Amino acid sequence: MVKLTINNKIVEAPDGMLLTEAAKMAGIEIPTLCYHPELQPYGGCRLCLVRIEKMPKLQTACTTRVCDNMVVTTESPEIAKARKGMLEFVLTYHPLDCPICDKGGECELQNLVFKFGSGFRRYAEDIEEYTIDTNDPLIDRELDRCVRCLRCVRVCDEVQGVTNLTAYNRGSHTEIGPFMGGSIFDCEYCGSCVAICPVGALTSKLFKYKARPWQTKRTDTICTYCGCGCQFALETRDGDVLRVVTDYEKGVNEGSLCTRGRFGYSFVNNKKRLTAPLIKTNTKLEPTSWDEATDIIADRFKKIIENNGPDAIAGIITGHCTNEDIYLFQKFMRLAIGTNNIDSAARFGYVNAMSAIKQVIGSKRFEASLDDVANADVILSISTNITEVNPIAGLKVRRAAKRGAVLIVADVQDTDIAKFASQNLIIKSGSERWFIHGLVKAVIEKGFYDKKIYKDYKKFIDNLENIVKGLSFKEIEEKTGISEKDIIEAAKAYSKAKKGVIIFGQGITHQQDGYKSSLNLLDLCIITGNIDSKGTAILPLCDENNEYGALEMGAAPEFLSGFLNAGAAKDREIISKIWDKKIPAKKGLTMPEIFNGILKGKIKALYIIGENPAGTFPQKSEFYEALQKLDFLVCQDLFPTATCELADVVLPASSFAEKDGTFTNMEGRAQKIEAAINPVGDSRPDWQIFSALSEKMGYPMDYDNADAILKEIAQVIEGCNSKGEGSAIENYVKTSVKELRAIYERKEEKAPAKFPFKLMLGPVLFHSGKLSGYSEGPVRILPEGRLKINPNDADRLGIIEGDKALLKNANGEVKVKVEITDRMPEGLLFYPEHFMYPAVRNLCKIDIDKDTKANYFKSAFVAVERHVPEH
Amino acid sequence: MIKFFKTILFIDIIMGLLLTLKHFFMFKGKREITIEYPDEKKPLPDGYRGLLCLRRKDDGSERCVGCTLCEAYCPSKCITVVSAGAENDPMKRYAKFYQIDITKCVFCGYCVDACPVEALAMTKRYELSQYEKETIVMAKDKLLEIGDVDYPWRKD
Ligand code: SF4
Ligand code: SF4
Ligand code: SF4
Ligand code: SF4
Ligand code: SF4
Ligand code: FES
Repeated sequence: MVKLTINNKIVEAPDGMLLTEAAKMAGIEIPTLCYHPELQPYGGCRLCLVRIEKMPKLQTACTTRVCDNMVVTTESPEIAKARKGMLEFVLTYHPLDCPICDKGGECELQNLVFKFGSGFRRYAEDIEEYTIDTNDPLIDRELDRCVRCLRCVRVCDEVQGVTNLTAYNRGSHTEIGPFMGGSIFDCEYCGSCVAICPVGALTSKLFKYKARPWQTKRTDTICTYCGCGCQFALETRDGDVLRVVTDYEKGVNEGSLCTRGRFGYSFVNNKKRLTAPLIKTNTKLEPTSWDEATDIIADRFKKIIENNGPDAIAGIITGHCTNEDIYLFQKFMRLAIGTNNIDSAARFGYVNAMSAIKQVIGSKRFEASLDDVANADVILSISTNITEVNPIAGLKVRRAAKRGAVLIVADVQDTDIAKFASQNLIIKSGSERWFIHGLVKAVIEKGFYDKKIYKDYKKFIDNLENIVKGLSFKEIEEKTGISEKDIIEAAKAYSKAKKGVIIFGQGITHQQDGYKSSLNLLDLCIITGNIDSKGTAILPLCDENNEYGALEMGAAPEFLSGFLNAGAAKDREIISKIWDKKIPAKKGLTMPEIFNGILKGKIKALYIIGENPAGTFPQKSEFYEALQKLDFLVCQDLFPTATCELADVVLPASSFAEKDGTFTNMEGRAQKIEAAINPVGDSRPDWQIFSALSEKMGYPMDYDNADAILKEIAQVIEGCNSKGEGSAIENYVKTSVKELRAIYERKEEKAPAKFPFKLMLGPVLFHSGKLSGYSEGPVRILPEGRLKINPNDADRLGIIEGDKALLKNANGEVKVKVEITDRMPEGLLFYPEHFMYPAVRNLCKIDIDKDTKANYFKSAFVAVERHVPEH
Repeated sequence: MIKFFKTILFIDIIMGLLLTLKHFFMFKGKREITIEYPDEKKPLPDGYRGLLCLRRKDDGSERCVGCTLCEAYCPSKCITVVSAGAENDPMKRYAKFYQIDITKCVFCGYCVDACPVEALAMTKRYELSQYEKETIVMAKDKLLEIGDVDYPWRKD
């Protein structure tokens, strides 16, 4: 701490703090323009001039660091005159078209001139011709308004790490634009540059001219797309969501957002939204009243329970619902219906990671912090493609790497985050398990494990050693393509870490043996001592925003609320007591079991909330057929999906912008969302629908609001904590050799000779699930999917950019546009999973995990040829 | 003493009644005071603050750029502006929806002051009573119509 005097006031501030910040802390305002608390000092606008004693001339406060005995004056006639002069300079070429300018009302320049300016300019220069470019799909550049603060350039580089923007030309001719030239930004479209521009030089096309800031209502809420759980505010007017804004001080994201969060909001007001309940009469869906729709559902459910028992009904819920929705849904299924046949989207893979983690840490609540990621000294990122799937988590990794952390990236393709990596290991698709086992082997055989841990868990480590002995580095290199040296280097770096973090993504969790691989990674954490100590973390990435919540609330046959074991009578008892009604003991069915149940005629009715199996399952699969075989299908969704078409009753649900509740992000952090607008049309928040249905089913679950449900959830979770047990890891390390051997099994997948290419479907940056396809922003940037293919492969097949490729296998054939990129290794193809058409998903087959019954349908072996268009 | 006599003889009242009597017999046209509204109307001074209207540019296009300043400035909150980019030229800002609720307007003229492009103006119209309130909740086309009459633009 140092002591300095600002305007005769003694101020204490940490050593090295910027003068602007110290003044702000003391409640003294120094006007600034190019300064931004998120960015490094720049000193370009010279509006923050102050007088510092014993220094010649006026000094810029935003680049001066405080020191002891500094004496500063921030207000004097001299300074006021200087400011006025600087502002006049800024305005030399400024068009002053505030009435039209989209920034009017929140423009920093406007405010500064209003407060400190002189109101006229003496410079009678001809206005120069500046670039006005509106060709980009999302960001308009009107550079006559630019004040050359370079905040946009700096945020893109310093915060986003994209370095897409640059300032070109010199002096008053300086302009801002994409580094590669041209008018299209072609970047990550995070929108940070738009948000940080103090004037109307960079503006969002989606918000353009829609409203003035004082006309909108601001509601703080949480992003509904991915598991990062970024905080932002929705600005609305008369029920329309107009834009998304952030505050750099708030949330895990600290003001940054990815393109989906920033520009993906307009699905809320999409005209295609379901606005009334629909029932099937003959073959058509007709609108009806809520009363009638719920009556029909309750009647049919009751009849099915009467004839076939409660276990003939099953329910599946999306991970985009709030905790309150999901909690009430599983309570509805378990008590009002009386079955444990409930599952959620976490069954597509996230459940693998969570089950493994629960296996190791026991009843303790799983928590991992993105701050730990940002502060880590070694990060091991395995099959994450993190900057595209969970961009804000990716930002934390970038930040750590920029700070000097060792970043080891292993993925089947060359990912974006790899450019920050100290080790970029491209492993062959399908060999992930060899790679992980290689790491375990290296740690054990080279003695990298934690010495203290070795003393405590000697048996465990010896067992592991026994198991990995059979695997040679030669075999690993053959399978993965990674040399012994590289594996040992990675293992060494990770085990020597003080704050080691493992991040793993869909390449692990959404693949065959995802549960076992997750356990293997946990083993790696345990033996290197990176599991419990401060600053270490193991973090499975989470694709849908509330998958964690879906599992924690108990929307899974094996879990009750609070991750209690539904199979254990003791655990059921805990919750039954709070609910005052017995939870059915019969084991419930997981998603694939539900669909098999339908095929076998055991399941008669299905209640689907927010999922679209008819649009996501491959059409040739049995599961797709199963949907047609149902006696009764209820669909609750925002949009009329392919599954809705098969449904007997369709219920319109409200989106995240229209309801209160909480989302739990992948860190395990529950965050509140708040309704920004009234429900669109006649739609209702999901929990209200369950509440209404439960009453008609004869088991009323009546809550005043979402908060009342949250209170009950808190009570339940508290109840779980009272369970008490010894250290779970102690138990886990007692796993027998036989069991361990099973966990370390490796299965090889071989491409059939006829279909030599491996095709993977997966998420991409600009979209998330199917919702983003209803939003204007993401659709403008990426309107259609493209098949990524390696240049050598493309060469061999005679395919050039812009061509279409024909993908073929036993399940059918599809034509897709290609994008040739050397990020893909030879033999591997990638296609974004978000697009309904062309239906590339139909080529895939469904795999079911033996351990957790997770179902995967995101890969296939195919043959590729160039599609010759017919003339 | 004089005051005493004045009081008891009602002198003041008689003086007042005499004046009334004088006016009673005064002939029309000479020193006329009463205006026989609505047959007759008082000439209005320049700058009279009557009904609002929207003006056009000389080429016939709307002046209003939808900046929303009038809405922000209006003390009785009777103006609603929804701005948008023009369909054929998204870079051109205009008011997609513009409405003044005259029932609430207090004719202060602040909006006219606020308007940076002189799109708003006040006419000398003041007879605004209606059987239906809705008739004087005026949308853009109505306001432009009034502007066209009261502030004619040059047709080339
Ligand atoms: S950038 Fe600010 S000062 Fe410049 S025209 Fe826009 S609102 Fe006015
Ligand atoms: S949108 Fe984001 S990535 Fe693109 S230029 Fe702006 S700051 Fe950079
Ligand atoms: S575009 Fe905006 S943020 Fe970038 S230099 Fe110009 S004024 Fe600053
Ligand atoms: S999609 Fe994920 S990373 Fe992007 S803003 Fe939303 S929560 Fe954040
Ligand atoms: S009338 Fe004038 S002040 Fe009102 S929105 Fe139009 S341009 Fe702006
Ligand atoms: S704010 Fe200090 S120089 Fe711009």
